[in-house]
Amino acid sequence: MTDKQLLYAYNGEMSNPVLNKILSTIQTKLSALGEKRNVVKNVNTILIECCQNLIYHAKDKDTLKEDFFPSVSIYKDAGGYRISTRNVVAGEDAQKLEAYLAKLNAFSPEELKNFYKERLTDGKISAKGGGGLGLLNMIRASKDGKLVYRFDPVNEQYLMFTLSFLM
Amino acid sequence: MNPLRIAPTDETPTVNFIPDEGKFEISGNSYPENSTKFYSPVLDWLRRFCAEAKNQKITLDFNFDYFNTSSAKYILEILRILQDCQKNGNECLVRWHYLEEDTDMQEAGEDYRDSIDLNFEFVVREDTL
Repeated sequence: MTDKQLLYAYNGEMSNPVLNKILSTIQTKLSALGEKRNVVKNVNTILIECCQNLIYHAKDKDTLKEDFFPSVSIYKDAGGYRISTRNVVAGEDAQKLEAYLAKLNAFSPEELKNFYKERLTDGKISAKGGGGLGLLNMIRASKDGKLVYRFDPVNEQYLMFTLSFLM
Repeated sequence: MNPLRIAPTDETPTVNFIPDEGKFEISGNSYPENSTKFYSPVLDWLRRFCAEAKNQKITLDFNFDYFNTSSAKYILEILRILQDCQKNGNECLVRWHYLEEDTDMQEAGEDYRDSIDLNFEFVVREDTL
């Protein structure tokens, strides 16, 4: 069987209280599937990064209309767990993000590890409290060292950014 | 100097720093939305402590379930302060606790050990679930 099984999906405003509910639900679902505690923990660790990325990069309230709400989903298939997120990004941010993702995807595991250490020790924290390590953490957790992404226009100003990876 | 005690929440860890005993502990979850807001007072307290500490034995226990990557940066900052404290003549030990099968948490501790000039001890904890 190679069928994808949707384990969980959320579409709406993202916050830490919402994240806590997601973590609790995923823990219950994965435990019910008989997953070991470390698998549950690894998936939840990455979900924290994914959801907090959605929080940090949520745009102003005027973009938070129903069509633009961020979303997160998790599927189980024969290869593992595929995590997918969607959020709106401004056009100019999309260009920078695309270049950064292409750079990460080109790195070997060793280069990713070194780049992570470099970023970890640079002392930079964003005004919103993010450390700039979220995507790096996701790609390092992925089975194939790749982040799959696309940008779809939603209007003249914004694009819908879809990110997914297998872990 | 008064101890620093911060009660845990779902997203923030227990902080228990007892200066007279040189026993410091951070444990639980650390994924606040804004890590700066949570960790700034912790760093301030630690800097004040280290400015005063003389010939003291200090043990810092990290015992995390989850931490996010912005907390990861503040963990490093805490270790840097402790490293300065050691250079000023104090004896510092970091104990990094992790579940036996949790290789990610183990590797995170090893990354810190490799990035900082402090003695590290790795402590495997029992899975209580």
